[in-house]
Amino acid sequence: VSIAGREWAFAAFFAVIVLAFALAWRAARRGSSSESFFVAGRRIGAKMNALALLGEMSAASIMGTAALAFSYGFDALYSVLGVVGGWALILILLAERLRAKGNRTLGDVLSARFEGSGVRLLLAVSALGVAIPHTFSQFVAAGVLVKGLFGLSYESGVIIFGVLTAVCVILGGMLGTTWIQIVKALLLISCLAVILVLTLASYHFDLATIFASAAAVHPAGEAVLRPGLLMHGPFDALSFVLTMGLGAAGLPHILSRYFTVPDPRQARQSAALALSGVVLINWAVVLMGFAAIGLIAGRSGYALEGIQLVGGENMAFLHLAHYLAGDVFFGLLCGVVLMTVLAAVSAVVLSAATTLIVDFYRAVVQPAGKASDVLLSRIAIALVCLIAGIFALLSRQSNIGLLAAIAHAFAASVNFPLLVLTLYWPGLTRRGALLGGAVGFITALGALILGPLVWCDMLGFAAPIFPNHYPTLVSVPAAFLAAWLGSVRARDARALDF
Amino acid sequence: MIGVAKRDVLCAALVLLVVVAVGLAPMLLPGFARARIAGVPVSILVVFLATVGVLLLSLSLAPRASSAPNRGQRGEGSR
Repeated sequence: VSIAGREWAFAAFFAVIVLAFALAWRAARRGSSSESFFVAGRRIGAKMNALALLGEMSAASIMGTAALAFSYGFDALYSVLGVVGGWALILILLAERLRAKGNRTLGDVLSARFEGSGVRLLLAVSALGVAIPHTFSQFVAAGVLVKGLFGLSYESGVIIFGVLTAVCVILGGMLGTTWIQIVKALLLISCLAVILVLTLASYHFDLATIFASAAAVHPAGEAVLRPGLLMHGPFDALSFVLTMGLGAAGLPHILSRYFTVPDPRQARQSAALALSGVVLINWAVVLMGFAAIGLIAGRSGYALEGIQLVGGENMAFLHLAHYLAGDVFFGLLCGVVLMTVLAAVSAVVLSAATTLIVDFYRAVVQPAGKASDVLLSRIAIALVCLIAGIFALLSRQSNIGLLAAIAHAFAASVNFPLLVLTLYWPGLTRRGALLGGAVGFITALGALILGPLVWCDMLGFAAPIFPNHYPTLVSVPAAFLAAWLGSVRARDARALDF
Repeated sequence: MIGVAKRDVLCAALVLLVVVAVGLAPMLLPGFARARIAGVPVSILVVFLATVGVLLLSLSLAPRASSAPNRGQRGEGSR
């Protein structure tokens, strides 16, 4: 990064901090009632909620998808297929019904149907299994970004982002988080539109030239336009698609956004608008990744050699922006990327804290305590940020791919089956729900430990026992099957009317 | 005439089927993966059309008429 680019990036970063504080402060002044803090007073309209949902897209998903297309070509489309499929499932199956049945957390949906706190607690454990690796990975990403962009230390990046996140979420709650996400989504969409137009203009708006250049420049040649550089067979591809799709459809911080709209109809409208945005953004980013191969691969200042980029493959998106639009735009884009990290991590932290208090503390530990839920949640937010920050400081070499895999695997294997069966199958019993959730959780955990990410990369074994990076292809059917078996064999505890 | 819940589940199954079929087709049919239309690989075009199809299918489903009971309206859940 040139000195001018770094100065602009620093200015944009400072602007992001000031803007985030201002939004959180303004939200705090609007009141700190329970409803305002947890669900933004249920006053967020469909269009604003759709923008906030797009604001949930993390920097990793934007930069990661572009990087996948840049390095592996066609195989990036499996990510697009999965994500679009997942958001479509949210629209078709979940958004409207969650708003109708839920209150503040996904656990509310289950506790409305099943007596006792067991199922609620299981979903809470899964929600935390999603939230903690997610928060941890975002802090690691923030530390790496701040170090790479501004030359500050990794520790400074983690601490700045940890404090910034905690203060913004404690002050603003769901309303402040929503505003941050809306502003971030508008900024990101504007930047993507500029980069897309410049990208297409540099190829004279001819798609065929983009793909021909990619095949000519990429070391894999024509193979970059076919599957196989990353996915080593149908099992790999299917597992990845299902993890991206069903994982997205089970992420608590995304689903809890549907509690913030006034009614189920607006929940559906916001899901429809968000899905349209997801399709457009994903295709724009994939196209940029393909175009980047012809524009920056092998170019001095951006690439070390071939498609080996300065700063790693995840820099493809930022390098392309710098190549096309220069220092000033690059600096502003860095600010937007950092705001993207803040918006994504804020939502996850708030969701984790709400789950801790509503589904765990209130449901199990102290149902009739006098302390207000808002106060307890603020303490939980500080705690979650502190724990994730300490983890991020202690293990800077963490495999962000593994952390993302854990989060998506639990979301797909526990949350998605439990929610769909609870909302759509009258025959589901409490025992079936418990068995299905537990089997999904244990299968996902076991397959992750025995898979290549932990068994080989962390424990050093030569070959994995479970062959795939993602357990979803096994754990999701196992969860559904166990829930069915548990329900049809149960003789007690029939479900309440729903 | 099927119920709205059954309609939604069937559409969700259709979405999953399309995603899986389109994902597997270029791997299982190498000729399909090599074909091009106006210089653009057919496999990429098909994935594009599949995502647009999933989008249109999802958008075409009308909301539930009654929109069910509306939990959590003002006051509920506040402590």
